Amino acid sequence: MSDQPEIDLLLDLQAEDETGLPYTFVNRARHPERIIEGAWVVAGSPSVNAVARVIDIEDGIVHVDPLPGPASNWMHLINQRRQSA
Amino acid sequence: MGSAPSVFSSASRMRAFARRAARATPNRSRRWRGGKVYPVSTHPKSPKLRQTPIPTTGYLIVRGFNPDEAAVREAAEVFREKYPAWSTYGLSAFYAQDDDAVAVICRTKLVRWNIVQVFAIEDILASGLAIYPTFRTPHVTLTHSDFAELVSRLNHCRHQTINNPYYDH
Repeated sequence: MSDQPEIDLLLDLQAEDETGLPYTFVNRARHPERIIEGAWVVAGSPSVNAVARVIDIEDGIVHVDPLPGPASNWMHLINQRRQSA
Repeated sequence: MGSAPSVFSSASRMRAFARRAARATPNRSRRWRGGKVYPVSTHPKSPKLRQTPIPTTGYLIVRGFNPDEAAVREAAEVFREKYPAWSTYGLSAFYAQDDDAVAVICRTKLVRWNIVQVFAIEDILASGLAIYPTFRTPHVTLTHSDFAELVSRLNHCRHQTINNPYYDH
């Protein structure tokens, strides 16, 4: 597919920890400075991804809550962020 | 739409297993993999293990197939880095007691995956991977100390590949 979104957080969306949410380290993000609580990001991998909200960041670990459905349904949230950046 | 899958159809079986496991399990230990006992770590950098171990036979392990090896490696490395007390690579999966439970997982946890792999729990264990009941039911973590071995053993382990009927992308 040619319209794959740019991945902000490369992670496995089926991975979860004590919170039940997908997680990774902030410093592994493409742009760590963009990973702030409440931000909308594209999380996952090129083949399995979603728009997700950053829930919390603690001890360098970021948790995200993916929105239902394909990322393309929610890209306006990402585009708003990019336009305001 | 047909009747809802029954995920609780084998609750009595689960309770019976828990009773047997409780009798067989020494304090602060888990009986696991045919009698091998793993101590329960209280180290803060260890993943949280559930009290009830999962059965070593008759159950299924379900995992969404991700063709992006970089993402798989990333997940395994992040697990290792987040839980240094274990010093092992880990991949997430889910356990299911029957086909109905597999359907529920496909419709919820793995709804983003077009292709889902289903393993018999005995085959995973026979391949040399360890399975831990981590975090929230039905989550499990498949582990190995070597990432290449973890992926290779998982790929070569006998499994069934199914197209997720609930895939919504």
